[in-house]
Amino acid sequence: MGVAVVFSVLGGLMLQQRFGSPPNPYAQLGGDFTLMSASGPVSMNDYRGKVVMLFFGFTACPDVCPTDLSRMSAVFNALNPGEVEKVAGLFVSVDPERDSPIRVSEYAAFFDKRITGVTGSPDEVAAVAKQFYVLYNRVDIPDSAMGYTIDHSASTYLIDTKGEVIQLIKHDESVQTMVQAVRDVLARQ
Amino acid sequence: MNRKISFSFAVVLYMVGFSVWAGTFEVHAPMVRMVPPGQAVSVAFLGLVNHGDKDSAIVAAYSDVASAVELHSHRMEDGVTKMGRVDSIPLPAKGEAVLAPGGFSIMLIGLTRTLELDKVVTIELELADGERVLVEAIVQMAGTAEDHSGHDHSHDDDHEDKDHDD
Repeated sequence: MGVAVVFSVLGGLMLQQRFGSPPNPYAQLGGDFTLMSASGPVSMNDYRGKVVMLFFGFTACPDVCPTDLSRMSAVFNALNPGEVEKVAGLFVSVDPERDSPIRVSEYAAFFDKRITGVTGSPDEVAAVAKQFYVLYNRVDIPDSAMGYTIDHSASTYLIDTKGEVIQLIKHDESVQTMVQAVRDVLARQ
Repeated sequence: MNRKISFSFAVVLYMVGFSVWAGTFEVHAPMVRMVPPGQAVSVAFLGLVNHGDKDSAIVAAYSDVASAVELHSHRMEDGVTKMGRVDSIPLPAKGEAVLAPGGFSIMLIGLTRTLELDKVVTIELELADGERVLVEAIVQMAGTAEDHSGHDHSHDDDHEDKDHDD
């Protein structure tokens, strides 16, 4: 229901982008939020002046999250030092039940020290997900020792220096594509 | 004695980072994903070629590296990642089972020890006919060596996975 509405809105946004009418189809996504990292609160507004790569996932995520966080790390590695200074990585856990701020920060840093891992209370996480039209859904797997998993959106949000969402980079896009996307955003600032 | 040797030959493969031809089944690029210390869950990927004339399937996997070892399937639906346990992974005659990101995997749940980069994790695969294939998978970071040299990573829709997360 709610999810379906969010989904169709996002689908519409993607279509709009594909057929290229409005300047920024993602203008209504995002905004400021504050969640907790191992070293204290982190707000989106702290990153004004930087281009942010933002990804939502959870630490017990075996496949998609390591791939996307490794890609984020590869993007940092591909950028030159001047560019790296102006880019930040943010990983939001949508599994506050299992992920503490310390856990998610350590997990993100394991892939790259330049990626900050944050989470919050279930309500705080839900509010942030709603801001970004992120879908996530806790799914029980009764026949698995996993207990439950979380289906979640797997796009990386590219956010410009003013905090506006500029692009959603899909899970299967290459490092090169993402590096270029980050450079394009940097060039426009 | 001879019988014992041929039995071992047929069912045991040792893999150290490259493909080994050993009768009917051939393992490609087996790897276990490196995870941070304290992380309870990891995943193993590999390709398994069936050179035989008989359809088979991977029906179970065993390892002492985790308290539970399960076959899972991951897929992307409209940009949302989903996963679930499967009973088996098809291994067609003259075909291949590809366990790779975005498709089938061996889930290692409840790691019993801290994984170490470049070290070997032993995993035993059980096939439909009861055959066993021993795999020595290398612990690697995500995104470094998961390219199963040109194999299609996509999870074909006609795979008969029985997901539980719909």
